Amino acid sequence: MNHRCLRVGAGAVVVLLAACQTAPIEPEPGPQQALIDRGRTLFFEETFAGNGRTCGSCHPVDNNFTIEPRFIAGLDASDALFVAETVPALAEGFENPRLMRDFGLILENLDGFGDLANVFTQRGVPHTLGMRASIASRDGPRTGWSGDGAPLDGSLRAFSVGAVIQHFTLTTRRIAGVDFRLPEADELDALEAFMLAQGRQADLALPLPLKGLRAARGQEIFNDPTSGKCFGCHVNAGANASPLVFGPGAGNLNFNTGVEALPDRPFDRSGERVPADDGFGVPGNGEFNTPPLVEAADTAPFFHNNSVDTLEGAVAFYNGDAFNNSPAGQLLGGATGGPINLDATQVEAVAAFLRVINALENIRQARELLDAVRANRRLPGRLFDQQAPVAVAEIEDAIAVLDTVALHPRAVAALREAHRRARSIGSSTFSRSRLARDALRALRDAEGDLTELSS
Amino acid sequence: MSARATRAILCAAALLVAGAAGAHPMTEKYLPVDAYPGWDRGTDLGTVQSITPGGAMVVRTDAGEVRTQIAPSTLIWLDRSRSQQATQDGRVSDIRPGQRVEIKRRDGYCVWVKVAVQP
Repeated sequence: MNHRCLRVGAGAVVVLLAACQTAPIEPEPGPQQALIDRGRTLFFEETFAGNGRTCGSCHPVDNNFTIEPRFIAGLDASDALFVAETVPALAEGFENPRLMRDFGLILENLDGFGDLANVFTQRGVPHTLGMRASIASRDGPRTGWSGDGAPLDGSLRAFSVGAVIQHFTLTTRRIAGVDFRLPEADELDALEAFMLAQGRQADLALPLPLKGLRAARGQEIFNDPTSGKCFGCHVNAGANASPLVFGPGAGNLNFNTGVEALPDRPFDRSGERVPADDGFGVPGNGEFNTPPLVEAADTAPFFHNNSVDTLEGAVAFYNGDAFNNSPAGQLLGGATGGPINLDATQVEAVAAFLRVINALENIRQARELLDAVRANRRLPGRLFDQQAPVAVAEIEDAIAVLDTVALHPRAVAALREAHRRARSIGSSTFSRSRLARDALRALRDAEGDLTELSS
Repeated sequence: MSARATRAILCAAALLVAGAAGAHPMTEKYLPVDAYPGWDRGTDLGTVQSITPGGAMVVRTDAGEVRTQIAPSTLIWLDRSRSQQATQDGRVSDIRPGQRVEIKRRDGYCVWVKVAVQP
């Protein structure tokens, strides 16, 4: 047999063996799993007969369901995110392309569509992770940067209706049935189920047995009612207010923390118009919604207008005049005997704590995904072939949030090993399970360097 | 100050500063009458039975008669989606008996009225 025959024969065997690979195990059949799966399809593929955008245009799965300038810079010019640059009917009063590309800011007409040239705000894109634990309050659900992002009953289910009208329209006339179609009730159910299934399903239970000295000290400061005071509005580093401070079941609240008063914001010298954002209500009362912090470190920039780029800067914000002169800052200072006044080492300690809990969440998600890959199983709301790449993205995030400030070098080394293994899964036909198992072992090593392992 | 005292003071003060939850009203104008019936529990759907020049309106709904008052602050929207036209702002004189309407009420007054305009 000549070499050519050998090559053809070997190729045929590989093709046959690949064909013999068993199909992925589907999620347990059930109405909820089917709803989440349908929601995923709608979230990433449905344009609602509009300008081509989907929910995933601003909330991509491989970028933690948010966008910022670096991610935007990597998109193709034909991406539907850029419709204001490509569709003449959306050239005016729909989006500011420069503010979007340079600062990740999206135009919102929160006070109505009556005066598009003058009445608008520019906001960052909040991630949509961990919503199951982040949007409920005793006064009802709070969605979006000012807590009132949804029309109708204000629920997450209704949120997509407002998003379609604001962001999906073919023209700025916004005529239902002409410029877009409104989501049907069953589609809204599916979208809500999908969104609620993403990320954490519950808050952490602090304090965690952290091994790193800086992160452990940061956790103490975070939960100290006389220094960091962070826990009051972010109990367990989530989006909910402390029951000790705000009473049982307070949940997710709104505050005026003075972000709008920050000087020297990144976009201030752009020459582009960024009107003051009045927050909750029409007219607004200056309040914005408390976001969860577990996912903060890998979803920069920070605050509703992307005005702070680094996690350390976001923690330091609470030391500054903008916060301490704000209604929330004044109240906090009056009630606790003085403003928040953390030194640089304490700011970095709190940020280190937030970086470590973010990395632990990245590892949790990567483990969940790789465990499914190892077992040849598809998770609800995921495409099977997407599970390994998203796990890789989670590991990359964990490496970035720790390595940027040289935290936990041993954990970073283990994460790099996990990354190497997980990244090989995509190009492997027969070793997927083994590679996933190896990556899982490395992730366990990384986790063990960050915190005392439970078992 | 002890941690306990701090918490107690914060607890009382926090209730003053924390804002209420609420839905965003400004997209409402762009939702046709009947688009999401019953989603907002403060709204009623029905047919105008009568209306005075002063804005006293009676609407027949599935649950019975609803009497309400259109105030100067009430937003009146003319839903022209059936003729594929944009919604317009309207006046009391645009509301006529027999028209399909959706209303949101608070304390006996209409916050907004949406009127389905037939092509």
